[in-house]
Amino acid sequence: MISEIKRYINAEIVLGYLKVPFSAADEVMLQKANESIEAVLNHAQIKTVTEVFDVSLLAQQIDFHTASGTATVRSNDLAVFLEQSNQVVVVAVTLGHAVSRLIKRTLVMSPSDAVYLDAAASAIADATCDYIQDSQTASVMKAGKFSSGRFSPGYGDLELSTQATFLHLIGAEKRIGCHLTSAYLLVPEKSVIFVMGISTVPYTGNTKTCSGNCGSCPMEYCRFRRSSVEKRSI
Amino acid sequence: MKREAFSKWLANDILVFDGAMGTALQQRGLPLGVAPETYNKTNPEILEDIHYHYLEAGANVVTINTFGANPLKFPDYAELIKAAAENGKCARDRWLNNSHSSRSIFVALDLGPLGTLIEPLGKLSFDEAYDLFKAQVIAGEDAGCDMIIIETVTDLYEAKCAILAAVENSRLPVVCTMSFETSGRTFFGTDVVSMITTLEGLGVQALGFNCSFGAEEMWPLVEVALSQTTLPIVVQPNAGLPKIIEGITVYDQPVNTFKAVMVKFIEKGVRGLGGCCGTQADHIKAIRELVEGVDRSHIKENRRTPSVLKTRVASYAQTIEFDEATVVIGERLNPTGKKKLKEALLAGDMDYVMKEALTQVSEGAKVLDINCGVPGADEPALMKQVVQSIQAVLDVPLQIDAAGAAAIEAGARYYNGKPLINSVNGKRCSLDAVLPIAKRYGACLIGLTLDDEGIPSTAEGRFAVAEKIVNEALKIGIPKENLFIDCLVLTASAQQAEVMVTLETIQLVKERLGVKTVLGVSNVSFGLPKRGQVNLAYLTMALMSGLDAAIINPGHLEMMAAIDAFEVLSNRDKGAVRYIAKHGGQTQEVLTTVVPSGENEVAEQLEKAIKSGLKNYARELAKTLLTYRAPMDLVDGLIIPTLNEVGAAYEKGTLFLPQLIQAAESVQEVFEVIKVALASSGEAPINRGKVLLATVKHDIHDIGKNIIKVVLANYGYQIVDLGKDVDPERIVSVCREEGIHLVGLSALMTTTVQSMKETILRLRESLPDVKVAVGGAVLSTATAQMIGADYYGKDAREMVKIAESHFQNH
Repeated sequence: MISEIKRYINAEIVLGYLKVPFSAADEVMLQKANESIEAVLNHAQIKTVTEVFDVSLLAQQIDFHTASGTATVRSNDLAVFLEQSNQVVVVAVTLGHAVSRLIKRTLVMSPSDAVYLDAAASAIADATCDYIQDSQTASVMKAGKFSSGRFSPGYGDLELSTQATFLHLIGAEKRIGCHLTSAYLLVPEKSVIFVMGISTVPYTGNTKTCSGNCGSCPMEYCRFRRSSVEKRSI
Repeated sequence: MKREAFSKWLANDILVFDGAMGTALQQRGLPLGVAPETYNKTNPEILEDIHYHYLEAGANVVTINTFGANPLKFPDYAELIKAAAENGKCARDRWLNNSHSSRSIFVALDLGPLGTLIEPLGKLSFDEAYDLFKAQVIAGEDAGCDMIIIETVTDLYEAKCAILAAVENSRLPVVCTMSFETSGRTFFGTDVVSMITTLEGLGVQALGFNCSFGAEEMWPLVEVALSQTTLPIVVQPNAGLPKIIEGITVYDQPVNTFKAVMVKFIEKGVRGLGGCCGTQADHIKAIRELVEGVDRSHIKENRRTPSVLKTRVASYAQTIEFDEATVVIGERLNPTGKKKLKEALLAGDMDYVMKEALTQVSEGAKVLDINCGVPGADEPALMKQVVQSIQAVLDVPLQIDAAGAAAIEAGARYYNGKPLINSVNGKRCSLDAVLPIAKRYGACLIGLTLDDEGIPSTAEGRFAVAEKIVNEALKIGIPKENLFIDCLVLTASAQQAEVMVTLETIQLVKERLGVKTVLGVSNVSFGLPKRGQVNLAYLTMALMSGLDAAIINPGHLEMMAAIDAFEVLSNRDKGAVRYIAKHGGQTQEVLTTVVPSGENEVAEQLEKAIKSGLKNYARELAKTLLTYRAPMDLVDGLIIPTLNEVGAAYEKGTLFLPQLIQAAESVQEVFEVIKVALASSGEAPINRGKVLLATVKHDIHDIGKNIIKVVLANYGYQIVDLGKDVDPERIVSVCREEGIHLVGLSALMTTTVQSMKETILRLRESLPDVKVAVGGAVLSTATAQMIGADYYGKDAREMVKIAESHFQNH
């Protein structure tokens, strides 16, 4: 997976986290950013859990159905975001404890290096989410369905406390070692939970992910494909 | 059954554990969101039925449904444990009545992880975690359990804590299994050897692995464990790898596949077999069939004895063996003769301590000596703090160095690993106080060759003390491989004739006692000029005499190199692999930056060095500039203006955060030089005012606060850093105790801004004169005003301005 994630990360992105415009970065900064990416990847034990659930979208509420019952998450913003989704992918990503320790250790000896590492670790956690999201999107497309963008607890009115529900739903504590603090923050620190919707019809409004450009779309069997556009293989 | 009897039983038989509880409960209709432990009281017949099926299948162990029944999750934990034990005992009695079997059955209290992380990753202290486990253990023994299983633990510290609680608060046999990843480590980074090394001496009757994956994937871990300990090994794999079907985890490995690997486990000497997630009665039946097919006399013959019992210490993630190479124990975390370390320890400045620890490791120390013997300090409390601070960032094993038993015990107990204790001696009082501690924590122990008569002047005299220590240790059950003797070096300047006695004693100890030897080398040169060269010669002589570990300054390059060379010359570093890796291609260090002459030139270069973040160069330049200028002239005339210039460039957006911090780091180096100059000239240290910094309660993101700390410190402010997730009451009490009038609070999450508001309210109520500056990603001027803060520090530069203006006006 590391080689895949590397495609989503570079020095420019890390410097972006440090609010350093790429054009203003000197050689030393570029080198530090690149070294930080390598150091974080060397220490990271990247683990992910991805599970798909059938859902019912109600007003300000999403019900996740499992064989042993239903888990409910309350959020108007998420319900609107998911629109007409009939399934939701729940994903947890962590870089592991060793990265947090590396940052702490470096902070003692060289705070400036620690700042680079912290930025690189955040960027790599996001890159991992990008990679998982793209993989999911590709697999959803293959099935002739549509996927939404991603949404995480803490955005809009989706309370951080819902991280507990998602963590439990996908067994992330046992499977990838993600824990929650009493204030619902994830430990290891560089961990992310997100959800994305799956729908049989294209998303519209703010959630719209279909560009409408059928000519460049790999979804050969999409039932919404304009008939004037030739099919192309995936 | 008592522990000894259980161990004997296990030496002659194979223990069959039961299978999954969660899977069985789900099959019987446990709904999503209902805690399984509640079924102990609400559905006892279901629990009894599950246990009965496993007994019928062939289990010896009835693992009761108490995995999460701890006081954190259930106020009625004791009732749940009691009910669970009743369910287990009912199933046992009914099955024994029905089957008329003579099979040994053990009702086992099951202890899973607490579900809350222990410090430093979580909020729960080691002592709090211990109390939670203790409460469960007492309830379990009271309820009539026959043994305790600690399982599915991934944090070695939690495993150690649970084992201590079980061993110290019951008489029941204890088995501990941990969950690993296919990488061979747990989520927390623990490897199999470090787990075995740390836990085997804590009084458990068996160790092993459970959960995570299937039997096939567990095999490599088991193979390592079998070669590393004589303790019985227990395995409880899942029924294959998990699959998610309709939102629930499913394990569907066929029983025959599971059974095929179990055959291999039995053949290789595993003594406890059962199942975890997904395993059912069929899996246990398969294990029973295999066990019944084993010739009992074969089991006895098949007792494992590792070819070499190893002398080793471990952290949570790294084991150091003393049989393969000379081990360097870093000596610099001992305050004797070190003023700055003494001050840091007294002030609780753990950054200084950690820096010293990290530096020694980077210089090649494999173990770090920790001594907190500072007059006026609470040594046990300090030992605990230092050990916990270092193990939060470093995985190098530690040597707990103290004269008093209380400090030794504090170090050994709170250490997340197997420590080396320094030391016991031949005095009766020392033996009585220290040996039981080493035994209790399964630690390695250094014995000093001195007794009530002092240090014997002959090798035979010192050997006699060593022999006494070794015999006394063996008598109470400390294994020989855990013992070291320090034959004590005296100073060549005062007791020259006895210097060779130490080396002769090393040889005697090695030949006749067969235990390891260790020596604090540098004492030999005390009182002589050019001590380094004397130490170097003596170290080489000691190595030739058979020294296994040297307590030295790893920053002494020649001594480190001498050890590397010795390893080659003594044929231990085969093919000089380690030597070449370390010293090959090494060239003479070239000085790339030359300190110019002339005050103005030096000042100009120093300004540039600070701006460019050239730490070492800045330090050298500052030393030179101090020959021209008074320390405070340097601070006010050059450093602060340069920092201001850097800060202004940062504000303008022509310079960025990493460069701002690099400049601050360079100034930090310069300040170290200035502090020395101020101290030697008798001037007061720089202190522009005291600022308390904290990341507020519930927030664990502290990098921003740490940046502020570095930058403020370099403007000469004294920082009291309370860390992260800090309770408002603590902030109030520290402000009150230390007379602090400026507080900086940080919060990264929207949700924790509420904690910030509460902290400000508490400060306003108790200490209205205290001013509060707030900062963090989610804050703005408007939010800062809304929550009642006095200042909003949008970044490090702004915080400096706030501090300057605050202390000018107050």
